Amino acid sequence: MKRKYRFHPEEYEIGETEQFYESMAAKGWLLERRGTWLSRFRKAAPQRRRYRVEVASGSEGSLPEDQVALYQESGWELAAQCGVFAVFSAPECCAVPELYTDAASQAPMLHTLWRRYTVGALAETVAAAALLLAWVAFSRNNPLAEFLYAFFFAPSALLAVLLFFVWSVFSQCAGAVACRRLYRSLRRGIPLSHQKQARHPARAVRRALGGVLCLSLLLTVGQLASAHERPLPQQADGPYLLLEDLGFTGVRGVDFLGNESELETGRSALLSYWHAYEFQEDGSGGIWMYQDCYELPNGSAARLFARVLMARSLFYGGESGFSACEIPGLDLAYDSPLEHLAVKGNRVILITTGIDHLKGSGSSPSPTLVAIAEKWSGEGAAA
Amino acid sequence: MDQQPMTEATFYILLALLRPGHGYGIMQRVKEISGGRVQVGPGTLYGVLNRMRKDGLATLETKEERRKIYALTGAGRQALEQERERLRRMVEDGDREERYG
Repeated sequence: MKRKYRFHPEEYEIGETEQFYESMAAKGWLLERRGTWLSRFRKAAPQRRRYRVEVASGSEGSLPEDQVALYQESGWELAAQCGVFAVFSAPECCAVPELYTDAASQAPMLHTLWRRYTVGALAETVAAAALLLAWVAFSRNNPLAEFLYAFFFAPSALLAVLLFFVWSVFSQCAGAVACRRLYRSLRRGIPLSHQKQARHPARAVRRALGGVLCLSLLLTVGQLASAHERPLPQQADGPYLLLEDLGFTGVRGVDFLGNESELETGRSALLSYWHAYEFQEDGSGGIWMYQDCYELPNGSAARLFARVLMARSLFYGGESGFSACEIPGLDLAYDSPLEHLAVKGNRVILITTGIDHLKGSGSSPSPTLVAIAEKWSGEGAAA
Repeated sequence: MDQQPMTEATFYILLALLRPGHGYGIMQRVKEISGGRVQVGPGTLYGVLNRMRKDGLATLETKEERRKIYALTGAGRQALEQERERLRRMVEDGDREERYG
């Protein structure tokens, strides 16, 4: 049997929902199932049918059996049900009575919908606040630095999360407002329209937000797909160093945590990155070096990102743990016993290593910074 | 029950409930009593019956398979009688004014 899925209007768009199912039936697609976002239709002969929406007002979570039985005896078929939301249909030719012959008696249905949207808006707001608090609580040192890191490293994912909450809260609020308005007009005795309503600005805003959200999700998927992890090559194929460049010619091995030398590369909408880890056996626990290297859109972004990397520093937790130093060939250089940071043009690198003679001191900066200056002098980093 | 005048649907549903019946039967009875002038939709009927039960005007007598049988309570009879009296007076007032006015 041929089936088809379509996005349906929001629950509060009652006239639109009924018209939507009626037009699908006229095209030969009968409503079979309704989900949160999508409705499923099965192929049938084109027919003129009336569709009516009903919402369970009680505490049961769905329409009571006796209510459905009453509607069915009156000539209405239960076409689909999704939680408290039910859709009934009847052939247009038959004299099946309207579900509601008295406007005020339909008001509780809109009150139930209004309550659902209001609770939804509150729940979404609480969830967003909880996420924000969790972000602050779990940010290692500096929530702003964590935010900026996420902004550069995964802008589309960050945008998707923000947009999801904005879109979600906005949709719930728009629904609550629309339901409240309908509820009041029903109480005044104005019957619910079973026709499509004029375009509502909230719908256009919701769709625009939804469109940007989908785009940012696609970009996030693209970023995840661009990420690539592989063994660290013997010859550096990016703007990072190898231990060999620093004079260590030992054999690569596996560290005590079981990690091998590897390289992860990828790109976001705002940067390209190389995360490298190298481990060499030396007969006494081994030597290791981590590098986080980034290419940003321009020098200003690189300088800002350098400050973000220092603020997120695992060992020093802020710029105060680093001392600025002058290295010919680098725009900026910051040194500390374990972490070394360099900026040139649009490139930034943070090198972390525990090798004793790579440690910097007040008078002589770490040889890793000199080595990276030399390496980058032969390559052009965009200003 | 609130002090607002009873809606037409509520009045006819109370009238129909003078004989206990299930939902669809009540709908048919309302149509019959009103000579086809008043039709109560199943959604409206279900809502009114629920409110009547909450207000103590109707009660659930039995349940047959998926159908519930409703009946009028003493308070329901009283409310119906009061409404009939109110309507009777309204008609009398109208008649008197038309005759002598």
